[in-house]
Amino acid sequence: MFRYLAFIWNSGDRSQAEAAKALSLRANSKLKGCSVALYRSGLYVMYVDPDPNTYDARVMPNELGVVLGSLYCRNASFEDDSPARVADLGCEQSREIVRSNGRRLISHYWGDYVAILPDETIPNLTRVLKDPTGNLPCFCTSWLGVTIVFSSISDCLDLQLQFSVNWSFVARRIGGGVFDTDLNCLNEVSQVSRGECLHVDSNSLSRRRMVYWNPVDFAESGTAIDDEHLAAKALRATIRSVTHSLASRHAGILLRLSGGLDSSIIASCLSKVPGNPSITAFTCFVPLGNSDERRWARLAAEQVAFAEHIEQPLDMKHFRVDGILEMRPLAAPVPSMPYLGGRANETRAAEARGHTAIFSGDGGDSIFGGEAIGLVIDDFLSRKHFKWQIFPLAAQVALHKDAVVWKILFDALRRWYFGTRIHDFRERLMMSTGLGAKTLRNSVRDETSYPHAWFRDLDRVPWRTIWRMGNLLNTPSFYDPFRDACEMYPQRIAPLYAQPVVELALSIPLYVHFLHGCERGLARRAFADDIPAAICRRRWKDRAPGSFEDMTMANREFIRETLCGGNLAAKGQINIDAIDELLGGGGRDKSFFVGELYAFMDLELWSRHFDASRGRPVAA
Amino acid sequence: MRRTAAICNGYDFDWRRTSELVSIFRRMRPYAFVAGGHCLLHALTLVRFLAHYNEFPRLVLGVKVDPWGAHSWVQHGNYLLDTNPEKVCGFTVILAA
Repeated sequence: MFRYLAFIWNSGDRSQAEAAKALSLRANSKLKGCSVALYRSGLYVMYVDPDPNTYDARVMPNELGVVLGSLYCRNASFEDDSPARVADLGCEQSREIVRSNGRRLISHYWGDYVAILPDETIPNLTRVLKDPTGNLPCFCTSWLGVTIVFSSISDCLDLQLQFSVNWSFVARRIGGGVFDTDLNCLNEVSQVSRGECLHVDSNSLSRRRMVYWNPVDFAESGTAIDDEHLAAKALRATIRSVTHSLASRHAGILLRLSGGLDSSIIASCLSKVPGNPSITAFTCFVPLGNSDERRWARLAAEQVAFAEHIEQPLDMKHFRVDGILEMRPLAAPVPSMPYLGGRANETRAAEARGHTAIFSGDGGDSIFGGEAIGLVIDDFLSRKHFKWQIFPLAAQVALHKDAVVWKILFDALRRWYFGTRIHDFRERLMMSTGLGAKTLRNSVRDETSYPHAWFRDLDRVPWRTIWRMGNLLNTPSFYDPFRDACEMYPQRIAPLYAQPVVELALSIPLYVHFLHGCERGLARRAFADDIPAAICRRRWKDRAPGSFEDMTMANREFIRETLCGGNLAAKGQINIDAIDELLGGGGRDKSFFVGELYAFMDLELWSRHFDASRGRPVAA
Repeated sequence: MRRTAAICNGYDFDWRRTSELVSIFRRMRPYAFVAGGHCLLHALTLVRFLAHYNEFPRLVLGVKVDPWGAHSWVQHGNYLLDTNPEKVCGFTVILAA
């Protein structure tokens, strides 16, 4: 897979220069197939690129900087559904990007990239910019004064750098669900978040962070797209344009098709991709489950007439999770279970057909406002103030949230008048923290702000934005945790998380997304002519309830041994008694959050990779 | 009683009319009570509301184990009223009155 590694140092400092030279020599000998993208005073950028069709290193003329990843030009209008052009950074464009300190990349381009831009006027200042919504990770560490920017920690381990687990991060994740995004997972590694620019001053060895892109600017902007006709037209055009742009870079594509609204939308957009790539639809199902999504997936596949539609059974009752032991070291823990189960099947099917990408409708629930319905009234109040139309709207929200109208109105008015606080939805974030140590759970109760680069400087908690960001709030997961980063395997692409789609969707008020009281109502209307009517009408999901619980119980001995005999238990961070009771045989009648158990497993096995070096200083 | 009498008089379930009535019921319900956690109240209220307009779907009771649970809803044939398949598919029907 595409990887990069950059060394930034003060060229006037002899010891730093020597350290950088040692690192670059070692990197050249260790990293197979690597190429040098940029080598100038105080900056050395290298990359490994097994598939230049999708990701590449774009070196700006006159060594002004380098953009690593994929980069597209923006279409002039939201209503233009033609595919975006792949960006070609000529002299003029590069100068404008550098003159804007990189901000122009965010405003005029989109993609999945990390840009490294040395400042032309201030010596030893380098900017490292991560795009707003992409998945290519950007991490940062240092060795003997040299700043190392990288995407895959496996490359740093190859350089014999050592890292140690930040146990405060682990404790925060266990005790507070997702209240950990401002903590470094490893003591020596920090992350450049999406939309953030890191200013590295090699002279003073200081690093300063600036947020270049903030979703709040779109979600709470005064210039919202309030017209439902215009919004539907723009949404359809933008999603089609983005999907075509991304798909046209591949000769073969596998589409994860559940038959839900989001994957059906992507399926419809893949029907007329320029270059006519070969497309295989792929549906996983649980045999003998109480419900079955295959009939919906078939409807969507028939509408588009894909060449092939694979229906893959996933027997959860006999699924073995001990493959999780094969997890490779990553800079941050990622949810591994999907990669072991359905995603592994997808990858195998895609590889068997020579496909290079796996598309999905991931992100639709959040991007189309489905996860923020509880805040529809808040959005209405902030934009239109108190009008009589709020009552039928509140009734629709109440019906969807299964609450009474008065409660919905009262809560929204309170938040509107007094401002939004962390308490408003904290319980929802912490609902899956019952198996962690009780002391940890209490430790995050005093948090007053949402710990993310986008929101940390706000004097309120912008829940209207937070609930629309989905996985974009988390660390990017670009690499398969069970594959070697040196291998080439199909890349996962979620067009609904592309920057133009996210920006447009955020610019549309929540009450427009909630068109006619329907979850993702605007998206349904925008694609009503493209997807089967039955899918457009369907308001429920055909999940197989209890299948993950079955899988957990079938593997309970392994899970219990791994957790109760592991690092987390030794440090007192998980509630061994509760886990023992749940998995020891007597707990089958208890309801529990499967995701919590597997999050613990991920943390446990991730921490074991770095535990050996715990307490040691970083040294090469 | 009214249902039996209606069937004796040749009652036939009118799904279009029932659908419209359920839509009206759904618009009014959030002003009065919450369905979640009060499924029996919800189902009985809906049955009585529809009976007022001479529509007589069935009140259904279902149970499940693993973990244990019970639920009630309103259904006529394959038509689920004011609920969806996702909410009821895990239950085994023990009574349809």
